[in-house]
Amino acid sequence: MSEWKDKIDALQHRRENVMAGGGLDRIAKQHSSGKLTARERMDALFDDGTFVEINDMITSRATDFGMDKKKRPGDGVVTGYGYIHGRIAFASSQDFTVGGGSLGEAQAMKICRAMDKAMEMKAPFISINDSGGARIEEGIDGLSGYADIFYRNTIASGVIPQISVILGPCAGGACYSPAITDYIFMTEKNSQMYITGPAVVKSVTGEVISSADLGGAAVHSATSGVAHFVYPDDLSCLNGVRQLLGYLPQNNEEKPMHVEGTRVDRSVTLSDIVPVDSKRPYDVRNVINAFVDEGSFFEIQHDFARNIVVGFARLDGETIGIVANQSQYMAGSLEINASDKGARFIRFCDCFNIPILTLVDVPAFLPGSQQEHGGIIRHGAKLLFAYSEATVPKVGLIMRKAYGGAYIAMNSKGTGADMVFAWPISEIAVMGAAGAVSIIGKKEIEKADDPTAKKEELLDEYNNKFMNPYIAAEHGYVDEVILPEETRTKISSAFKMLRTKERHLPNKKHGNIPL
Amino acid sequence: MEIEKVLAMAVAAVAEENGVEPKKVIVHSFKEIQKSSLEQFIEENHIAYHKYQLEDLRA
Repeated sequence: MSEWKDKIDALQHRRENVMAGGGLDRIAKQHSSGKLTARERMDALFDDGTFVEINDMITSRATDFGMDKKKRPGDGVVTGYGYIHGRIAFASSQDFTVGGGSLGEAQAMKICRAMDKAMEMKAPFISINDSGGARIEEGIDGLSGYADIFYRNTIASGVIPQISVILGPCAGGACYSPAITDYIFMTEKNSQMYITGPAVVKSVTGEVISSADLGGAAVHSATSGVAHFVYPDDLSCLNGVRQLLGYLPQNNEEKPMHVEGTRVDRSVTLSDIVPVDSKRPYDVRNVINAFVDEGSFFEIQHDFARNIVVGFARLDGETIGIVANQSQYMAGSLEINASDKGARFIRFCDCFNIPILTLVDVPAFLPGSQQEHGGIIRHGAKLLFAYSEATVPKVGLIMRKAYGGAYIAMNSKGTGADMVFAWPISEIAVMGAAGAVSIIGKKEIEKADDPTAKKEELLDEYNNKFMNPYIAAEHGYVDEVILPEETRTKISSAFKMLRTKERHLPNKKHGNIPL
Repeated sequence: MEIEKVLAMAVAAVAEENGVEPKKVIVHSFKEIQKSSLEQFIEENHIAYHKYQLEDLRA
């Protein structure tokens, strides 16, 4: 019996050593900076009491630079599995209190094992990042560990949802794992992501810039578009991850959860929300919230490319992805960032069997040398490619303007839309009346005795003939012109009809989307 | 809550789950589980926190 006791005591001692992380002082420091520890984060991420840690005793085999004398229990990362909304998920959580969460060979191996398990179980993988970067003492072995992670991120892309949560520093090559994953979460004060930090930037370019201004959450959510979600602190951020996962399936072969929600149809208010005058802006999120399940709209990249709104919602308890032009910003026109934002979201939905609803009110692709030289042709093509390639159910509603190439890029019938609805105030045309008349009526206006009257006459003719949904409906580009109050009913019915949709692309390795 | 009451509730729950009379359940030992580090952190910092939880009706 005493032999057992000795062995059990030894195990308990080892366990306590692992659980102590970097020690009480470092944990206190972590807490005082508003951060949770790696294990506390796991507890917050998973359903209560469901997290199971694996490989807790793995430690580095390195010996150079005194590494043999500073063995780190767990090697600076906690990995394991648990349940989120009752469904299994895998995660890694870097432990900043242990060696600054630096990544060496053993840490990378731990993370890769958890990723491999996630792939075998076809379950989501969540990576919580809080690390100073590669462990310099381990040289190329640590660095190579990043490659192992990037490779797995890439292979898992489109198979299981991968979410990165940046709750501390994430610098250098480490940024590319989150960048490959589907969604990046950050916190307002403690998250930073950059390829080269402020010190290196200063030494190489002379530029003096703070860590937050270089790669903080505000920069990445509003300017670079790297981050998709920003929350005040660790707890709210990890709750956000739980919320996002509630819209997603476990993998590319399953459907998302069916969630009971409050089904209130406020479509009758839509005619008050959207002005008939196409020059007057409105918040398209009010349109969305009027007909999706109560409170179910979950916006992605709220602060980036605000001229397009993307996010998940539920209709009759089923997840849908929504892409909508936002007339409050740039009149809802499409430009480089909006094209990238929309295209990536559409491709995510298509990967994971999430039907797409497109709400159209788009005047054009944004004109100008800045856009042309920045490659709007290349970026805009992504949107066309993504819509055309997507085989999930695709339903569209043309609310107001649908002009030119931008209309075609927003889930037009020709690019494979399954059902296209239009409100009676919609204007589906090559361009707006003023622009069209200035081109096609130029000679007539110049020759006229009264050019102003002639211009007005031509504008009336163009408006009456083209600025409505009926020609598009007559020619089959619109399936049905609907009343605003019919919006939820018609969209819901279309998605219900499309539940068993099957469309297959020709056999190929993969398409060649313009990147 | 008094430990006797907690034990009585636990016994009742185990009995119901196994379809036996509570009198036939014998408690050999019990262990009081401490609050987790996260629970302590939330309590000590007076944080209003509710875990976002959903139920999959398809399951």
